[in-house]
Amino acid sequence: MPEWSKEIHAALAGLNLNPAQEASVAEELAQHLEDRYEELRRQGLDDPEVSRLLRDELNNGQLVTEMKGLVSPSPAALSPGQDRHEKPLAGLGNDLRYTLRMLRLNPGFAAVAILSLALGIGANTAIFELLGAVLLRTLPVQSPQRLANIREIHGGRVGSTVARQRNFSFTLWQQIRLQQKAFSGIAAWSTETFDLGQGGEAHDVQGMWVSGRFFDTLGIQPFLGRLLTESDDYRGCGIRGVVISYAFWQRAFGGRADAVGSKLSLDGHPFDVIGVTPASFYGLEIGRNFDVAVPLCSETAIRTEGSWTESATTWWLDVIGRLNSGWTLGKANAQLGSIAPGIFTLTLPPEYDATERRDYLRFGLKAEPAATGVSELRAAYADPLRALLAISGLVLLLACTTNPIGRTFGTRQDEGKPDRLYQIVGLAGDTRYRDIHAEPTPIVFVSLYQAADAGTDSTFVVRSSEAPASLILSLKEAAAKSSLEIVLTFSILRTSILEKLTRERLMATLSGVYGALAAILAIVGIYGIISYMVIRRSSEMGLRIALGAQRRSVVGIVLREATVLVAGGLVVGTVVAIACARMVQTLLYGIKPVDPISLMVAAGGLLTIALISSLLPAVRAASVNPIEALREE
Amino acid sequence: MTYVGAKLFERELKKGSTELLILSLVEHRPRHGYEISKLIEQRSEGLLKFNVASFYPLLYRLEERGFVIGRWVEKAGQRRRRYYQLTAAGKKVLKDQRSCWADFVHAINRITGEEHA
Repeated sequence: MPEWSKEIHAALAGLNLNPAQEASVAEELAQHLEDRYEELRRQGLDDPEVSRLLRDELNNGQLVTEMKGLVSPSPAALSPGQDRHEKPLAGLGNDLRYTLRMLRLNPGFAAVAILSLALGIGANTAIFELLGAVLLRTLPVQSPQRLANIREIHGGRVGSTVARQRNFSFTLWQQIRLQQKAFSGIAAWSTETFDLGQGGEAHDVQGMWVSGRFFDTLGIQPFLGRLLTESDDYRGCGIRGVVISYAFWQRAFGGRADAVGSKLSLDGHPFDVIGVTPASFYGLEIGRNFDVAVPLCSETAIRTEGSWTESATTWWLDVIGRLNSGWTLGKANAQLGSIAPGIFTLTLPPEYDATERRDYLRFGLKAEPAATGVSELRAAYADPLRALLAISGLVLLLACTTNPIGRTFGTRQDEGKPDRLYQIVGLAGDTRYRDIHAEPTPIVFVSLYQAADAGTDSTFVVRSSEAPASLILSLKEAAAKSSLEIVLTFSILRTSILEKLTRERLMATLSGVYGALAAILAIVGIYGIISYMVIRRSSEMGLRIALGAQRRSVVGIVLREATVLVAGGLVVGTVVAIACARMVQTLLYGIKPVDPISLMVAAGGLLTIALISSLLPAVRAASVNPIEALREE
Repeated sequence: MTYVGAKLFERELKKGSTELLILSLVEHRPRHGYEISKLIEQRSEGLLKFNVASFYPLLYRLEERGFVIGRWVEKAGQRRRRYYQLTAAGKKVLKDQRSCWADFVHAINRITGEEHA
């Protein structure tokens, strides 16, 4: 009987089966041929004839043709852990089991690795949440991508900015509204804190001044009642209707339907609540929700003296517009550019001197996308590190290069009042009063008694060893004794400073967590690499020790190799850091992208960490038992 | 006299029916390849014959499609052999093919059978 195996393998060669499969098929076919051979022989055919017959059957080409594409060809390579039935995730279970086993063998390492991963994921999520909320979420209004924020481009202004909104004076806003052609709807707005109370301690609400077409421009529908329209905003409207936010309606009116039509006292003036905005609308500022929207025209009624509306040099309005259909931002900017010179000429404040006039006439107008709202918060987060540095300079003392004591200077007074001349009697260090983020501005300290008109509001700073709660109570009583009309707002300096620093503290914490994480990961990584190296070379270490090397010199060898490794990494890392720093330049404040000291400190710190984490494997290498190590060889 | 087409017709018939034949043979008990091919030959009284190159590809195709499953079985005093067994999917296919075949044969018979006046 012929030996079929060879011939079958030759016949199957063209199929490129994997070895196991080919062996199985060959065995099966060989058995078949043997059975057939015996059968045919029993029928009386002679050996050469039967062999020829079966050989012809086997080699008629049908086998290869029919089996092509039927049995799976041998895979190119099999990665460890993968099993033979190659589904994409095959072997995942084995890999997971292996991972768990290895982690169990080294629980300390496992804890560090898991913890650093967890912290990393957590910190990333936090930052992305923040980014999403501050930078990416669009305003909850109709087609926010068609909204544009219009602002003034200027190089220094003379006058006052009194609100967070500081792009335009009222007269400028009026001219823009009249002359612009780019926007189908345009509105001015500003923010102010109103007092709900009637004397005594103030109850603040977040107010928003809005021009007549504010809600219409944004495309907001009332949740209840009606919203302010152009007919509510006319010169001399006095104290009339206001619109409240959904959140304030819930908070102050318990969500009652009869809130619409009821009175609301703002800074002692009784306004009518005419409507409630939908819950989704929080205002235009990210991170600052509004409670009450008041028509711009009521400003003169609330602020009977020194109204912002009346002043051409008070910048307190921001302007938002909805682009006409078919208009792009570029086209809108071109139109704004063409009307700007006329507008600034027309609104030139009469009290300006020649220099101020020249500057003012150079101002320009610019429209920017406003789909995601406007926010100081955003600026603060885009520049987190600068803000961080600003804290450290809370009381920044700048040495004065000149000694001006005894000289005099003048201050500009309101119209109709004579300018005053003051004599300088002393110098105080630069201080930030309003905002610790801002650069210190020139400040003149004048005795309250020298001010002819001290104004209607003053801030008193009280330093006391008494507890804040009882101190506030006694201050209230003292004020009430003097007059019942005095309105007081209390804040604890320390608390308000901390509140102002929330963002910075968050950024600092997150940056710190990242730094610590990076260090932990570096430690784990270096420890792992050096340990691996030590294990691989333990016989070499054993040989060295057997030949008389001091254990100390073995530690030295390992540490030296670790240093070379890390030094290489540091060179590459520094190059990458410099390259990346240029990309994140806009995020860096107060330090240059390539700051030699920062880089050196970081590199030094990492080198130290690297040496510490390779110390343990080095000691292990030095404690190798030479006999055992050599026996393994 | 047979014409040239008769051979082709027979080949096509064979091709179309082999799956059904193999599945039927392993329906009640597992059998090895040689046994299956032998049974087909015997029961068809020699009309249907397979050789090693034509039979195994069919068998492997059925296995690949999950209708049968082959296992190497060792029995005392015998060399090991690969036995094929019907799977659940195979059972369903067999049932469908069987009724389809019966309908087909019935229809053909009705047309090709003698016409009754």
